[in-house]
Amino acid sequence: MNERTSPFVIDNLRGNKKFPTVWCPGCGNGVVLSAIVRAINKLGLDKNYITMVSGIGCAGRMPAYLDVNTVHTTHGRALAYATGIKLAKPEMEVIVIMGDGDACAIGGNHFIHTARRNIELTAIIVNNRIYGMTGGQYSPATPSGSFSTTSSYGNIDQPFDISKMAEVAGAGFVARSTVYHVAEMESLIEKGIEKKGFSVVEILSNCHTYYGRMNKIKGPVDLLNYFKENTAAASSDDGTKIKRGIFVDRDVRGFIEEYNGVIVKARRMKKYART
Amino acid sequence: MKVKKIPYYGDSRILRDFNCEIREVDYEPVFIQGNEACVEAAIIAGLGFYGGYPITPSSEIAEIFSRRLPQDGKIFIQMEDEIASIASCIGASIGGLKSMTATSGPGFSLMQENIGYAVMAEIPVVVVNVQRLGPSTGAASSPAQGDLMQARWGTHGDHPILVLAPGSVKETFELTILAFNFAERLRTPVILLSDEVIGHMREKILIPPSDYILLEKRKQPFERPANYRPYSNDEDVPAMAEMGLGYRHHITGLLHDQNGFPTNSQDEIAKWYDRIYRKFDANMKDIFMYNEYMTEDADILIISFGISSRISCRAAEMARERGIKAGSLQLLTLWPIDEDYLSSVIKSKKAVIVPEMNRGQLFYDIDRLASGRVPIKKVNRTDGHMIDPEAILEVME
Amino acid sequence: MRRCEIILAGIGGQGLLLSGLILGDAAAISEKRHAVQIESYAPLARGGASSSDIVISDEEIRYPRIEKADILVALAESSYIEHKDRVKDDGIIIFNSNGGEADKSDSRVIEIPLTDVAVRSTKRAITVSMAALGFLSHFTDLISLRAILSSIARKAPAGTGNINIAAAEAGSAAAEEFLSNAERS
Repeated sequence: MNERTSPFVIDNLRGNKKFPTVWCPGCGNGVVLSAIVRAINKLGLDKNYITMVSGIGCAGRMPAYLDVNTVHTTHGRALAYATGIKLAKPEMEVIVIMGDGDACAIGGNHFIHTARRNIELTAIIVNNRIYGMTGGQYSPATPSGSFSTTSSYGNIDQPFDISKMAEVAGAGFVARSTVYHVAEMESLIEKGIEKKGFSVVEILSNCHTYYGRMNKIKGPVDLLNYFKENTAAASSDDGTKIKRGIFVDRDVRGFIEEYNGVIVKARRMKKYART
Repeated sequence: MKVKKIPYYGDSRILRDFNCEIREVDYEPVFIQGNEACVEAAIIAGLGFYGGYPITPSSEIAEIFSRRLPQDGKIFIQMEDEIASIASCIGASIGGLKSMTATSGPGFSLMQENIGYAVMAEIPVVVVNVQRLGPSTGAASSPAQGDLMQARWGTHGDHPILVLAPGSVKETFELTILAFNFAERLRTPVILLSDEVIGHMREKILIPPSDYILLEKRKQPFERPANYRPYSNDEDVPAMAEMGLGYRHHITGLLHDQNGFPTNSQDEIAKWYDRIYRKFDANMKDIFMYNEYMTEDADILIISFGISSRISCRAAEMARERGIKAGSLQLLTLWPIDEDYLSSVIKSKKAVIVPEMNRGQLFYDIDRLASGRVPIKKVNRTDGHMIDPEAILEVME
Repeated sequence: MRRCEIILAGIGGQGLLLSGLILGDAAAISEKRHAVQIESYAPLARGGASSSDIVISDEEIRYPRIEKADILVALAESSYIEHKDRVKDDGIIIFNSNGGEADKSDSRVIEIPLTDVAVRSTKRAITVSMAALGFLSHFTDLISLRAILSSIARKAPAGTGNINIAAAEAGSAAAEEFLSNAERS
């Protein structure tokens, strides 16, 4: 029983789920959702063999709308849940949606270790540089000096570079795009899903409601323009801009591939072990 | 068809109905630790996934699984911490495998939030807590029974949960199998509350042939995917559809409606709460388990759990040598308890003693059920050693 | 046989934990009786106090702890001092005389140079506790040497079966010698 997805977002939304979404009008999450749908459709995946896992936060609400297997877990732990699901059902395409706070603050340890294991998951991190759902507090991705409801005098922390962290921790595929660069984002998600091992696709997204309002980039369009003007392709040598594109694409054996080797070894040793 | 009583082995709760006799030679005698018995039982119960993080005194469980599970093509993974361990287990259970993790106090504290997720999303999972002494790091290789209340109420929000407590290696074996059965039948996390003594103590047990053991599996839906409601209120325990068969549904830790989608509806939320408590009440006869020893004519009843119940039995014997009619009631199930049964038993005695290796936790429930009609005495010890039977006798006299 | 309580005590590195497992296993599996074993040890694997409490009985054992031990095997002086008060007045204390000195006035004590016995047969001091089990098997009616040997074959870590068996046999021979000397004198 193969149930293909449709290229049209509307056809892939759940009929029995109440709309509108929980997101503010103009939120980047909808853009990411539709890009994921198109990427899945291009890859010709079977809906029954896609599981979308998320943690807590605005991005965490994304799976509920989509007509695939969906699991909305606890804050920060999406990757650990996804690890269990993938190991139980290796034939399942497991896509994990997290926000920047979800993936890098409370879930930072899981993020690092999932990358270290290079387990066959795709992580899509919607980085809006703030905690939106709880009311605009600063996150580990909030730029230094930015204002938030808990950094009234400007953020004094350094922000994480999520893609770099994924790279040094061992992920097989790392890429970044923004909600302005929709076609690029879609192709990166597609490549990320296709890639064996752990893939991380970081997507810079807009939270005009909190980040924008408090940092004088008010509307969604202003933020999209900000992404347009302040980012550059990975190949560019403009050091002042945030880089987009593929940073890592390496062939390292994934965890499941390695574990299958363990099973073979263990069986052989059992066979020759004294009884 | 009737279960044949097996000489010596006793507990028929884990055995299937037979119309043939099981002979003693069919059993495999082994001399093993409680932690090893837990592993053997889990493997027989069909464990497919173990995710854990090392911690004394539970580490043997992880070590043995790491050797055994890959031999059967099953999954062992050492996660980065206990939070990830329980999360991966719940994930694997969502993926259709029977899963478990084992830990001790500090790790058990870390797992609490996600145990609550398994309660909310109704995901079967078995959590073994080999208790050690004290809050915080405490004493890693000293036994205690201080996590009883945490096992019951550890995760936030009002919730039911199933807590089983073995008092021997044999009971560790049996209760581990039952933990998986109840987890699957009730779609709930089950806590197996062992302790350092039982975990490391070696005893002889007879392992029944695995095809004689009764194993339960989660119920699958019979309706078509379009009509499937993963949290239907029509049944106490709704079916949990296997992934990949077209039953694409949503699983969340938010309060949800019968389709699994987040809801704020008072009516839906109230019904959900009623149902998750109802599923325990409806199965009370099976899940509330205890052992009695010389209780029938006893004037004084010693109520205890885990390793302390072994001491209680000795104290009862010693009391009888002195002419005091004492008996021991060992609770194998610590939650939920059959309050009607327990309060009637308590009220039929002249006095009740509750020995436990903490400062009085089981005591609260026993005292409450006595409603002031029967004197309840505590015997407590928290120095990392088992209670002496003499201490129980002292309270009697 | 009625309930019998045994303490095996020594310091880490004398193979105590394995010998506790072997004695319990020999009684429970090889001789089809019942046994409970509880061990205690220091966090360090070498040098700390280490002991194994074992209860053996023909009936199922409800109470797993030692009330008053029938037998103490003390492989070091410190173990003798630590555990001697846990032994019955008419109990037996098998003391390794290579491990220090026991109280001369303690009538329960039987002194045997167990480390020498072990080293003479296996050249490894760690097998001393297995020699003690061998001694125990011949000196008391607690357990047969056969049961001990078959347990070693089953339970000893791969590659150590032969030396452990040799040590147990040497211990048994030492008991034979001890008994015949005792008869003569």
